[in-house]
Amino acid sequence: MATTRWFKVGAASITLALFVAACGGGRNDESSSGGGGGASATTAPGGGFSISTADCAGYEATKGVTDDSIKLGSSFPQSGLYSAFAEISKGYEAYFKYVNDQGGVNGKKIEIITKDDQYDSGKTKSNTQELTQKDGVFAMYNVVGTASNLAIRDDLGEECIPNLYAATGSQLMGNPAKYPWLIGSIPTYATESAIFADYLKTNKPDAKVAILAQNDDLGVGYTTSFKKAIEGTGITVVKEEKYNSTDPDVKSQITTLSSSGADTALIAATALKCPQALNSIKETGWSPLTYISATCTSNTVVGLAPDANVGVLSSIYLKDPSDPEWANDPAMQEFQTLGAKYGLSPDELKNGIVGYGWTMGALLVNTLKQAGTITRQSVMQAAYSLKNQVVGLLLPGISINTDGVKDPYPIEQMQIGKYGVNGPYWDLQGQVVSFEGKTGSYAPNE
Amino acid sequence: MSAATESRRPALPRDRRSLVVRIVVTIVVGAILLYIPQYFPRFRIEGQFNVIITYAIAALGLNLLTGFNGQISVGHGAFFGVGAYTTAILVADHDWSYPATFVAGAVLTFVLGLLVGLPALRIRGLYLALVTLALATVFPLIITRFSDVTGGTQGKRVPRVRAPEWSGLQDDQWKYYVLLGFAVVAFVLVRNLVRSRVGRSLIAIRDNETAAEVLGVNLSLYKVVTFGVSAMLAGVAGCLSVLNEPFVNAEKYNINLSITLLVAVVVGGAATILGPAFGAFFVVFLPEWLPKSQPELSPVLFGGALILLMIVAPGGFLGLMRQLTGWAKRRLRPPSSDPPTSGTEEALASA
Repeated sequence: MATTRWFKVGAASITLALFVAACGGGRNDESSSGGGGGASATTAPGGGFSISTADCAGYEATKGVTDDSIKLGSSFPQSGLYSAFAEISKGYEAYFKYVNDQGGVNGKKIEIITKDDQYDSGKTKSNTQELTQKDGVFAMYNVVGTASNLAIRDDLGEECIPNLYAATGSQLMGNPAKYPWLIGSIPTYATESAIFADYLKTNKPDAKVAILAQNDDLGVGYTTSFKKAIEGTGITVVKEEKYNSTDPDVKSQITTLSSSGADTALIAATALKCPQALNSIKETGWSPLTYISATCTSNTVVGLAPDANVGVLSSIYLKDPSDPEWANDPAMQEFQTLGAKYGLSPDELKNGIVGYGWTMGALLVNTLKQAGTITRQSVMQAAYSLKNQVVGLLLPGISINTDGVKDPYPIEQMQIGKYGVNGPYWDLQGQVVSFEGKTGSYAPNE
Repeated sequence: MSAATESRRPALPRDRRSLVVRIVVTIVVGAILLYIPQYFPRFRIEGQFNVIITYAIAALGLNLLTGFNGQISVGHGAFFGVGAYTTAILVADHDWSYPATFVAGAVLTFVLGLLVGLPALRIRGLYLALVTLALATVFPLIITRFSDVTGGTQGKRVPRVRAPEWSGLQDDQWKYYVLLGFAVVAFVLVRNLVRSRVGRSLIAIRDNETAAEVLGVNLSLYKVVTFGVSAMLAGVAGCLSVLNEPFVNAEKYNINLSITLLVAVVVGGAATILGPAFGAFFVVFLPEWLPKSQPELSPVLFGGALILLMIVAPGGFLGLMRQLTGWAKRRLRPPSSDPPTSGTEEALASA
């Protein structure tokens, strides 16, 4: 009967209303929609880097900042194939605990809310929306992954929310003229490729290179800049294979590469794909000179290819906590003692990727201090005006410098390291190679 | 209204009264739906309510096929994805306007649906489920295979839609109302379709193909076209999802999406018109309500909740509502004045 049916719909709508109430709401659009595109950035006459907030969609300078706290958000894989990256957060969280124990930055304690995105950029996007809108974070910090950071770049840029020290080496992170609210952290894949090309020029000038590349901007970054760096040399690329970040393994790609006659392998891969590639190389009986991405250098990752990882090359910019060479180094001792005090386990204290997190924590704290009065604008400007920052576990001779559009990349110095020759750590080879202020000149950008 | 008053003083004739109830309910539901974007913050609108609307439209299409016509599809996520990629690629790379891509997406998924529907004439039940399952599994692989065009695992960013100046709305509110408009049109059209001669033919095919054919129903035509229309609804929902969230990547349209849509149909109530809307609400909000301290446990809890729901309400949400109201009426009304339940309604309910 019609009545009954509509009575039911009525009951259903009441249930719906209850659900709606249960979800918790209360919309507050006090900031009017700006409707404009991203902000513009210029180098101010005084030399400092200045970012305009005129075009921001509802700019809220100090959202997430109270008298005694600064709330940050981050999204990175905490489960799934790429969960090794979750170790980074252990490092910076320990550092923040240490700083908070000292009274925080200008009396403000650093809080960080982290969310799991399983290295899926779609999830990063919804996580970021929730963090910025529901949790009201001041800034995003150390979001992992090239695709993930690109997925949130436009939204954050339009609302002028800083995305600080993204954990990706994509050269696309250094474009402050167009995207001033985003800054990267690790040396770009282009820098790495150039350093490896440099190494080959002196040590293996007629190398025949096979490339395994992740099928996204990470892989493209390595591949294009490596090819550019070997122009005019005797080094040739004989074969390229791609894999998708969702593929379970890279065996078939390695099999193809191994039969190409190459004597050198460039593994433009990350997380588990690195040890998988190394193991597959060993299984196929191929023995090339192998270079793996600097994103794979932590023991958690490269350690998963025992034996197969001996003699592998990569670029290093941090002191390896497993390397006895640094046992008496003051910065390393600080990391070991304070890290242990603020909750890091002995394994974590030996782990390079935790050391990276620790270094990034120190970099953020320095940036906040340098910003003075903390606003989204001042912090972003500070991040793009860093001078000779020697923080955390950076190798001797490496310092962090940025200067707006002229020099948007924080770390541009690295040194080739060889793994596992004297133990499970990276032995440094040769000298620190510096590309300070030069990354932009050879890195492809949008 | 108590049973006593009702029996003593029937103030209005039955159908008049039903009309009043109908109008009141429509106004209340409409008001709630219109008020939602004024009440909830942006991330709820973009992150959940707009997603619910797109899922509801897709599940509506799937329900037409599975609920009313009895053909199982575990591959509607792929049609959803085709729609989404059609809009994404045309808007991002070929400067099309969003509405134009909806037409393109609808045509494309309708044709695709017809093509998939053809083999479905020969295979049915579990076998059809397997074929459509293959569709759902292959779709992300195709996306990654042609990453030059699709953006692959990295994804593709699409220019965003802005609320027009005159509307005075925020972008997310504007998108909500646009989506809601599409949903209302889709639900009304499907409701009219199901209640027409065509709808009766669909149900007849589901219940007894031989009998339907004997009665002159053109089996092949109905089954194939139903597949097409069903796929088209999922495709349009996919197009709309890009309007809401201007970003696509291969992982978004995997097998999980297909299963989610199927769950929405079953949970809402198969072969009901409004069931998919409730089902979509459920599949989007339940994971939100589950405790998040243990991310690995969430899918397990979700599965557990599903099993529990299917035990309590095998007929889905609307089925449960029917049972509850039926029970309430039996309690409230003295047995003597209980009019014999009309057969048609029960038949529809069990359908």
